[in-house]
Amino acid sequence: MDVNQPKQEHLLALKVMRLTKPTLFTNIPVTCEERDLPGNLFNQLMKDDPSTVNGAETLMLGEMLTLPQNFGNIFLGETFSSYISVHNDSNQIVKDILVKADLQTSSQRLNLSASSAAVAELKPDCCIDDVIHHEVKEIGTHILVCAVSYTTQMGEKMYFRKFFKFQVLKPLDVKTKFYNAETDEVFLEAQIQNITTSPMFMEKVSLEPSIMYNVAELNTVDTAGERASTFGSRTHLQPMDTRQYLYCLKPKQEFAEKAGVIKGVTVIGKLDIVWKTNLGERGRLQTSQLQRMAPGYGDVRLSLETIPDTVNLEEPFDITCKITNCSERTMDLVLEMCNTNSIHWCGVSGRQLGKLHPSSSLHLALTLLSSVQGLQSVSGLRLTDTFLKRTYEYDDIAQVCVISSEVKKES
Amino acid sequence: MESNGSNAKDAKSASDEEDSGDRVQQKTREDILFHEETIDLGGDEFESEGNETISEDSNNFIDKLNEQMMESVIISDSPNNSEDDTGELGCLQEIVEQMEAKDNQKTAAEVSKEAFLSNESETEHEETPKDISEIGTDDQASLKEESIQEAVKEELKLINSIPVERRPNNIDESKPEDPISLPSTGKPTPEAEPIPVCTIFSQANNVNTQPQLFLHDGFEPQMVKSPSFSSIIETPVKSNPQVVQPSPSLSKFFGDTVNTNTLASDFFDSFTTSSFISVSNPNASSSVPEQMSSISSTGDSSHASPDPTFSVGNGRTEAGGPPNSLEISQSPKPFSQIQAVFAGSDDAFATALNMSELDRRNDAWLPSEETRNVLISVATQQYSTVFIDKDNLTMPGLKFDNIQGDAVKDLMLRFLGEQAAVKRQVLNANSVEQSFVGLKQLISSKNWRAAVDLCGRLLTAHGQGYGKSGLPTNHTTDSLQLWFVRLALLVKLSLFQNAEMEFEPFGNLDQPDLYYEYYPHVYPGRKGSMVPFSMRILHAELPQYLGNPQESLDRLHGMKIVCTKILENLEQGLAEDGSMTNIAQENRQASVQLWRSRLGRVMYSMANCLLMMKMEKSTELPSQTAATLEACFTFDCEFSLALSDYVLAVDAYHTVIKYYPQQEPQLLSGIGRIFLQIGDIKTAEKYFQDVEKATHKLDGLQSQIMVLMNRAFLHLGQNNFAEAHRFFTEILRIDSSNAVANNNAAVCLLYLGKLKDSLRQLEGMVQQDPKHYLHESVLFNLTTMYELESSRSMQKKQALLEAVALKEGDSFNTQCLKLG
Repeated sequence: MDVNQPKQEHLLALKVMRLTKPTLFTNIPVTCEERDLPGNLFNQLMKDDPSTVNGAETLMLGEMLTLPQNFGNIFLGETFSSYISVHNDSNQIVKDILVKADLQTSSQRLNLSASSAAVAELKPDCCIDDVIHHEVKEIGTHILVCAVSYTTQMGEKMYFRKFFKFQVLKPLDVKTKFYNAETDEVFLEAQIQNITTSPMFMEKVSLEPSIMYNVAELNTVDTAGERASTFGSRTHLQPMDTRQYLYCLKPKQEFAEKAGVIKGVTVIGKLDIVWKTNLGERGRLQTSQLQRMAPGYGDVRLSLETIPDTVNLEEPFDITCKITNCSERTMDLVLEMCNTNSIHWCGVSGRQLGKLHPSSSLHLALTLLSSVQGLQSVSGLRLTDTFLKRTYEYDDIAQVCVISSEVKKES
Repeated sequence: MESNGSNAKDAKSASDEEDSGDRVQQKTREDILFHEETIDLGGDEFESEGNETISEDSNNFIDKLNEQMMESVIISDSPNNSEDDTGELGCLQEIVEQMEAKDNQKTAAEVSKEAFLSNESETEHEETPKDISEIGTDDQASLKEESIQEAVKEELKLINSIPVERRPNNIDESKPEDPISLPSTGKPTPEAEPIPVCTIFSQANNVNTQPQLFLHDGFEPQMVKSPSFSSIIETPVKSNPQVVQPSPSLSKFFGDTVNTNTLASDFFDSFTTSSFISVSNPNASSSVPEQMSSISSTGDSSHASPDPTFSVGNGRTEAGGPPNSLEISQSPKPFSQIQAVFAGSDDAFATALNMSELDRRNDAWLPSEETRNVLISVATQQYSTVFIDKDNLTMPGLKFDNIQGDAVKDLMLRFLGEQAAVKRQVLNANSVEQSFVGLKQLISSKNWRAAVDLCGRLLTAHGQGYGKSGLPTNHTTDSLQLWFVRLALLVKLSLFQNAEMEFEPFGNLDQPDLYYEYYPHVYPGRKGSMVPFSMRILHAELPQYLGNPQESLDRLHGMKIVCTKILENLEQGLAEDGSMTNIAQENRQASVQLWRSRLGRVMYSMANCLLMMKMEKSTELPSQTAATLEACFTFDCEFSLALSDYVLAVDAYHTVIKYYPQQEPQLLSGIGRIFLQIGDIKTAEKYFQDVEKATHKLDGLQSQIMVLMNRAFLHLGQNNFAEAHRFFTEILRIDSSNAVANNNAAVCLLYLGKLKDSLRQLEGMVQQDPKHYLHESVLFNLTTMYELESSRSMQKKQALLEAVALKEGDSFNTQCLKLG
């Protein structure tokens, strides 16, 4: 019912095509032998076919490039490229043509046109071409809005727009998990799953640590001086497959010293992922800052520096403890050592350790022995802050394997 | 991101529109380039769920479009076509439901709204309300009524519940302070624990507010964003549902529709009810010429093809040599008994023969144990009855009469009119000699459909025509060659289903009546299989084109075992089949050469098949599959079960190099392209460097071209179309007729924004040598560019059709012209 809307033929036509990478043509090899009925006919047909590989016609994957056949999928982090062609379909010269390409996302509108200058005139059967590129940074609906304005020979100003909508999908699923080691090291396990429908070549998966940490990637194995990937020769990730990457983060010296600094929620860093798909189509994503809750140590932290793994029954052995003041105030500490039914401490209990300032630590060598064989838990240390009359208990701080001395001799 | 406030405001304006009844659906259909894009202007979908059907008169309101509507553009979520959408969605939901059921865990569906686009910034561009309507009028012609599926809510629910992961191991002890650890953390529960869904833009409070809904396994969802994207991530983005649409592969695009004919058995009563029949050799006393020209003069069967004179019930045949005609038995003896009767040595038989060297070498094949026993019994017991299970006989017949004629002509009738169509003259089955000579003529003139037809006629003359499937028949060298040609052409025409139908009666190509020994009187002294080796290859390759690469690999593996065994026999000084025949050294050498090249051909097919598997985009590789694959290759190369099909394909191509060392440069380049395709540019480069070391195997020009070609591809992989174009052009400088370089250079030009230049190059190429360059890939590119160039692509495509009509036979794939 376009009664009061006379149909208006535009002089210009706007065409848009997404430029995904071209694909390689594959042919279907059908061969026969000299003695078969067709003789060398089939082989000759394949030789004459320009899409086969010269000299290796049976090879399916040819060299002929074909243009993309459909819009395909586009994923976050990939680059959206598109050909925009404005063609003068009429037989008259059109003037002052302005082509504008905007990309509307759910949050913003971006101008993608290479030039914003108007073209003075366009002769019949001529084109204005533009290839636009945009790295996709948002998920969800995107609309490419192409607007064309021009002036006809009659001086009439004309304008039309076209919309092209596409969905940007999420390519990867990333999950992380932290392990806190006793030694202040943090291990990060990252699972990266390919949730697209095509294989992905993982070019780079790296952890960019925050300023507090140094990172060691644990995704290669040293064999005979060569660093081989833990994923073997398989460099790509099949659809729905998940890879697990492992990183070890060590606090930098200056931060490790000040024990109080790494406390509570800390920023660890972010994962940087670069992948490639068909003919080098590239995608890159980063995670947001990974955060972890540093284990809380209360006001006073007692950590073990050295301990033997195996000791003899009823023979004294030494351990070294490190006591760190994690609180904001100076402490005056007294150490008590309480025996358990297997662990017996040597030395004086209730000795003064002196004043300990915030974020400082002291090392303590202790001697003890075990009266029971087997895996024994080192427990029974008590620190009392004489200012606040508060006692901190340290049980199960380490385990040690206790064996009979005769067994050890034999072995 | 917009605030809630602005959302609410927009929602209000949307409902206002609804009140006034102004529902305008705009659909811009952009031919094939962008599929059908659906743009909805109007806010009424905003809060609607379920399906929204455009009413018939929605176009009537185009004139009522006003500026307010332009401000709010609501996008429907139907990507290309609504049916797909719902299909995929349904499927996804099912999965989710299963997962939910499994975990007994209800995930909360956060109701968030469809991404709403407000483009205030746009108002400045709106000049008059009239302009807006032009969006529609521009494509008025192609406007079609179509229902649009709106499934916002379901989809959003999906987002919140999709990646529920099960992790059997609990390894949480080491992190007691996890801020979001839950009661279950640290408790070693053997059951799997689902974890929260990971949306890309998951917010921190998401984790905090609904933790009790999820048990936690310690993994946290991570937000992924583009590195250069900084401003927007802080706010939760209402992510849209991910309806992943697999892009159809090229083969699908060019795929032919297959016509299925009714089964022959519908027309013919079953021959016998007993599963045992007697078999006679109708030609037993008459000498049948073995030459290929035997079916020459006419299609009439009097001379060349023996009558299908199989007797049922009484054992005497008219044509037959009475002594060895075999009788049907009402109470067949058990097979074990038969074996006992015919147990004997084949040595006497084998040595008595004087086969021609060439025949023996080419026809050699190792039958299965069962078939071998039948063949021995046929050879040794000529005066008794041999009972053969009907299931063990090969009874082929045409499954369809005539495949549709000339698609080019049909298109001409449709687009160019009758007058033009009359000019289209191609050979058909009637216009050539009804013989092998005519057949070859049809094949070489690319009239494969007609050639299939002629094969059918010649087979009909042989008694294996339409409807003869399931009826006893006999086989000759010629009949099997005809079948091979017919089936090969069907595959070349991509009529895979048809080929499969007609292949079916041949079983696994190992039935006793497919061996020469089965016809001692027709082929006295001849041994081996009548089935051409190429037909076995064809048979093995076929399932992969029908989506069953596993079956193909199994069959190829079987062939590989036989080839390997034959080579082993030859090395041990035996004949191909393991008998003690004396073979002259030079003949042995020739035989080893032949069988090595055959084994290489099998490996080639395996490699191609493995490559196809990846192209099919098969999302999962079942464990059984992996096992099969491993079995295939333990012989030649070592690798573990976990490796994927790419790696397998590459390894298989490496194996092929061993058998065809002269093809090393091409194959290495091919492997390089495989790596390019998966995006592994570095490895591709490594292979291309290896090629440059191996090019001494080629002549100067060819090696030069190959090196340049590979460099061009490498630049392509690095997104450097300008450099790639430079290398392709360089090839043209030394070999101006190189079709690949021509075509590829043109493709590069398009990516560089030079549509007209690209078109000029392709058109020039097609005009220069239409005989060679009217290739479907080139034409496909050309028509795609025509569509991009102007609205008048139809005329140009029709001009291409005329060019095709002059040069191409009936086998031309008209799909690439996109005349639809």
